[in-house]
Amino acid sequence: MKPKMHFRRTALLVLLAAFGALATDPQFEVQLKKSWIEAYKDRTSIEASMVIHHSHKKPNKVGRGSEDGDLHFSGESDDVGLPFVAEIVNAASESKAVAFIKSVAATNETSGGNEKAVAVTGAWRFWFEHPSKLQIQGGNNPFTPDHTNPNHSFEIHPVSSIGPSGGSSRIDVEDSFVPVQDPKTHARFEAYPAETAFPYFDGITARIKASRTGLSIRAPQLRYNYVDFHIELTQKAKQVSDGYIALARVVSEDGEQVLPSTVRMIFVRGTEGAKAMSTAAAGDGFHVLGIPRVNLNAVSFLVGQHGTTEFSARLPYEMIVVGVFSD
Amino acid sequence: MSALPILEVAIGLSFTYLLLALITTTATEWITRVANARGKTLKQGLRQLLGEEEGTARGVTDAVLDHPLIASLAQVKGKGRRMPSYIPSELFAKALTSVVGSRGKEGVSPHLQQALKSLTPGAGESIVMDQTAIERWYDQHMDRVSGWYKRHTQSVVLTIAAVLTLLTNTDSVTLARRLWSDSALRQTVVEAAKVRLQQGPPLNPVEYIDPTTPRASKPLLQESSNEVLPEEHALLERLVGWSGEPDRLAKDPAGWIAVHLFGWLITALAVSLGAPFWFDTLNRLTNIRSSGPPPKEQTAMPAPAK
Repeated sequence: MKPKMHFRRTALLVLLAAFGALATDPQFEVQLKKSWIEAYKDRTSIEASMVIHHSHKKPNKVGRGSEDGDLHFSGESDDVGLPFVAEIVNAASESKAVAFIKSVAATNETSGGNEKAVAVTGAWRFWFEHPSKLQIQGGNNPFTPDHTNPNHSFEIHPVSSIGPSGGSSRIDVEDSFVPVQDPKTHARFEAYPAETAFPYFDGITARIKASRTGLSIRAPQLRYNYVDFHIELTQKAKQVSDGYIALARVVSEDGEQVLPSTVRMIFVRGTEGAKAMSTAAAGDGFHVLGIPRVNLNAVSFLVGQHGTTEFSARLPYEMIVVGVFSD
Repeated sequence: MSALPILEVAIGLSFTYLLLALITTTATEWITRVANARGKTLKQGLRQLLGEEEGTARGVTDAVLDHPLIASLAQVKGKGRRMPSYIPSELFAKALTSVVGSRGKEGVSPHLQQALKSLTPGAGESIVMDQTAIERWYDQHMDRVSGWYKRHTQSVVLTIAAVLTLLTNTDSVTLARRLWSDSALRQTVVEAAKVRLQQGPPLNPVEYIDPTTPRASKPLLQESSNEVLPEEHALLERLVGWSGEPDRLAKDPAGWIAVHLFGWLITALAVSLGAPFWFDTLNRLTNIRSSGPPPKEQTAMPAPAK
């Protein structure tokens, strides 16, 4: 082959590779209301009146990756304004709640559009794990694919209680906020190690742009859900209206700091983790299982600095503590 | 053919665009600061808001700008004053109220009278200065003024990017050819790109004083990530430039321009996309180069349980 022809073919491949590389890591956008962000940025959880569209028939197995022991159910809520998924952790041990959810989902699926809402409380979670190209809070967002895992960037995960709307017979599942394990075999769920997940979280870049009443966050699809890690509190945890928020260093098993900065840790009221935080002091260490979510407090702060100018930022994140290990 | 050299060429191009975009950003900031483009656009926006033509002598716009609340925002430069680049809506509303109050109805243009009456519909023919309504009116107009400024800046960026492309003779096609044929140069560029990425994106994380009180992190104040390092300057000189080109230009001017024109055009357009875009792209390309296959849970969506 002539050198000139060889170069032309290569140049074409370079361009295709560059565009292909960009196409494999596209940006996804969520537009949120500033009023919603201000209301929830320092809350651990949300109480939503949720119309359940679909539910898994049984909890996931416990193993690794997507075998995380969760029960997924999908739906919509005016309190959220986006299609979302709610998940009960350690769901195999929460048979009453699982039966209730399956029953509501089955009824709604055959109701011919006359679906009934239920009250769901749990940690709110923005994370671009199964994102749509664009979703607008309060907008007309399509619920696709129409099953238990629609395109979504919002979750109530983990769920802490569920029950009929307006009723007093709530089913509390706060006791499910413990390290995930198979109730029969007691095999532990294998989460990602801190050394893998946190450097990845720290390197995620996002584009943020605010208007007067809302803001847009654009980020790539994100990975690493459950993380197994150790924390060391840098000060006493702060009690908020629905739990505790703590600042902590993420450390390896032998006490070495994994990240240069501290990370906000979120403890939902009534859980074992929140109880531990009520008496914990600066310097106390814990071995925990957690999942990341966008830190809306930091997003709000950055937007305050930039006004309506679009900017790039490391995507601020915080960790919802799902369980505290007893070791 | 291995995919890695192709990816490395793409990294090399992205890295070059990023460095040129950083230089373009610095030059644009300098030019707009010296020309006080932001202040001039603000004044133009105020004139339109208050219904005055360019060159109106001692109109309401000048009176508002001279009001002590606003004048104190301006930078004193020699005997004159530099227009502030931003006026908070609260101060604008107070200054306008004060100016209209002292001038009376006769001292205000019919356009402004009409606008102020429309802001307080129940007030009839009298002008009622509703602070909140004026602030909202001003904010809405300033959103549009920001759009003007952004468009103006984009044209400045594109011009600077084109000039910089020619000054440095950064022809994307020639650069891609060089990177493809020189594996050592490719490796050097990839390593330099990694160093650049380690400096973080243009903005750094937020720190916390306590769990709910954020503050800007220290690196944010240094703004070092927007500077091109001396080593990067040296590398840029190796990648692009005019070495040997004058001779080729003298031999066949038309042919030489035809060869480079397409490459220059690509470079200028690419550089005008801005440093944040090329930082993100470089980050993604580098991640793809260094990462293995994605985790199992990302490769397939969970099957519907329906």
